[in-house]
Amino acid sequence: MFNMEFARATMGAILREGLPATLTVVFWTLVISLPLGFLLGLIRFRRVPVLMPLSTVVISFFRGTPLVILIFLLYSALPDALARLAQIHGWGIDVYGLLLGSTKGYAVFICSTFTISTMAEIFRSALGAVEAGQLEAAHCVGLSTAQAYWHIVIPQALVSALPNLGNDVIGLVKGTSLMFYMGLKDIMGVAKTEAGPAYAYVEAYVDVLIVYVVLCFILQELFRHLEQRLRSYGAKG
Amino acid sequence: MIEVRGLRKSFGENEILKGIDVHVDTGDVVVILGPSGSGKTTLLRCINFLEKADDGVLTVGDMTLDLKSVRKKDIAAVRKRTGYVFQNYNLFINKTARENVMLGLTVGRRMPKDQAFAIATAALDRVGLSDRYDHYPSQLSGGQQQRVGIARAIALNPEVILFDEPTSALDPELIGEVLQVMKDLAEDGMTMLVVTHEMGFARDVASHVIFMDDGVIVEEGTPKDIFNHPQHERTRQFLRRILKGEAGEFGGSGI
Repeated sequence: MFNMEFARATMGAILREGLPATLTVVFWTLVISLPLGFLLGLIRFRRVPVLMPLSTVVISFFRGTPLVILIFLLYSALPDALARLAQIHGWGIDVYGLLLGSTKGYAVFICSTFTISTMAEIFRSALGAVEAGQLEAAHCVGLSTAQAYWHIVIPQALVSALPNLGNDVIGLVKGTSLMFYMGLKDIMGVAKTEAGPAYAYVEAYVDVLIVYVVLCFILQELFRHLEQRLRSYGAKG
Repeated sequence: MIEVRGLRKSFGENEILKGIDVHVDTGDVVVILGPSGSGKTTLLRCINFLEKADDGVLTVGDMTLDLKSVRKKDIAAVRKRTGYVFQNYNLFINKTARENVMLGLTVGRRMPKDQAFAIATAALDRVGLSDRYDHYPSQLSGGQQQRVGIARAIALNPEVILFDEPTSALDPELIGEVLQVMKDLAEDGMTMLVVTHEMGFARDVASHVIFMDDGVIVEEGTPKDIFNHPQHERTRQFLRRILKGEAGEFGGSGI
C-alpha cells in the first residue's frame, strides 16, 4: 500500500533540506560554468592555437564520461591519488580535508567539470550561428574585432544559445540527483535517507519525481520567457 | 580620390581578379557592370579589406598602400574614409535603425551619445526614414533596411561610399526607393563606386562606367560610350542580354 502519511512527511523533509541543497549546487555550478563555458566556447570558435586542441581533449573527456563514473573518479580516485602523492613527497597537506571538507563545494566542482564542457559546445555553435556579415558590417563602420564581438556578435550568440542553455540547465538539475553517491543531502539524498529505515522507496521516489518535474517545468518556463524577452528584436510586426 | 592599381586576387587555384585598375575622382559616380562571377564584388571587398588582395596598390586621398603588406592601422584608416553598403544590408539585427547608425559613431569614433544621436537622426531623415528610428531590422522592408544601410554609411561622413549590388536582394517594387536615395546622394556630390545590374541607374547617374568580365576590365568610358557605342563584342552581348530582360523598364523608369 502507498503510505500517504510517509510520502507527505518525506516531501516536507525534501523541501526543507534537499531542495535548498540542490538549488545551491545548481546555482554555484552555473555561476562558475557560464563564464568559463563561454570563454572555452569562444576559444574553440576562434580556433585559438594550442588552447583549441587542448580544450578538445578536456571537453571530449568530460562530455563522454558517464556522470556516475565521473563522480567515482573525482570523488574517490582523485583525492586518493593526490593524498598518496602528498604522502610520498611529504607535503604535509590534508588532501581529504582540503578537497572534501565541503560536500556541496565538491559537488559544485564535479558538476562544473561537465557543465563547462557542454556549455562550451553550446556557446561555440551559437557563435557560429551569427551571420558573418554582422562582423563585416561592424568592421566597416570602424569597430575593432573586440568591439564588434562585444556589441554585436556576443549579444546575438547569447540569445540563440538560450534554448540549448535551458536544456543544459535542466540536465544539470537532474544530474545533481546522482550526487547522493558522494553523500550530498540533495533532493535525492534526503529522499533516500528517509526511505531507507522505513523501507518506503516507492513513496520517496514519487516525491522525488514530483519535485523534479515541477522544478524543471518552472525552469523551462523561465527560459522561455527570457528568450521571448531578449529575442524581441527578431519579432515580426 | 581613390585609385586601385594592378589588383590581383585568387581563391585557391581560381584567379578572380587579374590585374584591375580603377580610378575614382572626388564627386564621381563610377558604376561597375558585368556578368555574375566577373569579380565585381570581390573588387569592392578587396578595397575595403573584407578580402585580402594578393597584389596591388591602393590610394585613398593622400594614403598609398601596398595591398600585399597592409597593417591593421592602415586598414582602420582606409575604413574610416570609406563607407560600405552590402547587397544583403547586414544591418545589426539586435539594434534599432537609429542604433545601427549610431554604433560606428559612439563605439568606433568615441563620439558622445547625444551628438551621435543627432547625426543618426539626420542621416535617417535624409534617406526618408523619419518614422522608423526605433524599428528593428526585422520590422522593416528590404528597401527600408537598405536605406538604413545607406544612412549607416553616410553618418560616418566617408569620402567615398562603396555600394555592392545594393538592390539585388530587393523585390522589384522596392528597388526604386533605394535607387532614388542613391541618386540624391550623387546629386549632393557624394563620391560613389557602385556595383550594380541597374542599367537605368548606370546610364542616368554614372559619370563613368566600367565593364568587367572574367576578372579583367573589358572596357570603360562614359555611359554614352558604353551603352551607345560599345567597342567589344563581350560588352555588346552583355548589354543585349540585360536590356532584353528589362525591355519595358529601360528608359522609362526615370532613374
